[in-house]
Amino acid sequence: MRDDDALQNNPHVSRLALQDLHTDLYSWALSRCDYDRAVAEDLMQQAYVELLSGRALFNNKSTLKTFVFGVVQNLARSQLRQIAIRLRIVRSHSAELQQDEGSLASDSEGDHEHIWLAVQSLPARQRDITELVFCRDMTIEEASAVMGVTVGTGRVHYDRAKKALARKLAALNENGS
Amino acid sequence: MNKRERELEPEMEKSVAESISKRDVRSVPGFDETWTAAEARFLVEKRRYRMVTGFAASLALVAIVLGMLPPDGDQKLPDFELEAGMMNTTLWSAPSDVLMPQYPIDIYQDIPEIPVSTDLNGETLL
Repeated sequence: MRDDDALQNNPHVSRLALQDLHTDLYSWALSRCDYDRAVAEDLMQQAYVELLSGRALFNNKSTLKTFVFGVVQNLARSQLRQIAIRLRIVRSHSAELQQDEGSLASDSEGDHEHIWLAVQSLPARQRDITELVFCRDMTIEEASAVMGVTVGTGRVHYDRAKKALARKLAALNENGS
Repeated sequence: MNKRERELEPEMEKSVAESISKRDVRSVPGFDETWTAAEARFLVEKRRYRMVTGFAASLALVAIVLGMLPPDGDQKLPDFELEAGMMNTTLWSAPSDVLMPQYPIDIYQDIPEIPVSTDLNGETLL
C-alpha cells in the first residue's frame, strides 16, 4: 500500500483497495435498503465518511472486504432500520402481487424473477447469508462476521437458506416441466 | 433435503447468484463520484464538529470566568447595611413570624425593671 494512498485516520485502508471493492459494496448496500438506489448511495457515502473519519477503524483483524461490508451492514441497521422495514413491508406486498402475476407470465421471462422472489421470501438473515456467500464470494465465516453473528449461527442460517431455496426451486421446476 | 433437491444444489447456487447480480449492477455510481461526495460530507461534519466543540469550549470558559469573579456586590451589600445598622442603633427586633409578633426592643431605653428590695431583716437584705 502506498503511503499517500492510505487514509489519514485509517492507516490500514487505502483508497485503491476501496475502489476495488466499490461495485460489490454498492450491491451489498443496495440489498441493505431494499434496492432503493438513492438510499444505497447515501449509505455508501456514509460508510466512506466513517472510514475517512476513523470512527470505523480497520485494524487488520479481518479482510478489508469483510470489514467494509460490516460497516455498511451496521450503518444500515442503525440509521436505516426504520426506512428499510417500511420498504420491506411495501416490497414484500408487491412481491406477493408479482408472484400472483408471475404465475401467468411466460417461463422465459419469469425464471430470474421466480428465483429472485424465492430469495426474497427467505427470512432476512438467510437472505443475507445467501447473498454474501453466493454472490459476494465470501466464506460462511466471513459472512457471519459481516452479519455480526457467530460462525455456528451463520452455518445454521446458510443451511436453512439452502434447503428452503432448494425446495422452492425444485417446486418451480416441477411446475415448469 | 431430498435427492431431487440435492441434485439441484450447484445449479441453484449459480442461478441464485445470477438472479441477485442481475438486480444490482445496472447502474453503479462511480467510485470517484461517491468518494468526492463522502469527502465533502466529511469536511462539513468536521467543520460542524469544530463549531460545536468551539462553542462548548467558549461556554465552559465563560462559566469558569464567571465562577472566578468575586461574589456579587448586590448580595453582599445588605450584610454591610445590617452590620452598619446594628452599630448605629440600639434598637433590636427579635426574629418574628406569624406566631410570634414582632417585638422591637431598645436595649438602652427599655431597661427592664428589676425588683429591688431595701427591706432588711436584721442585717440581711430581703
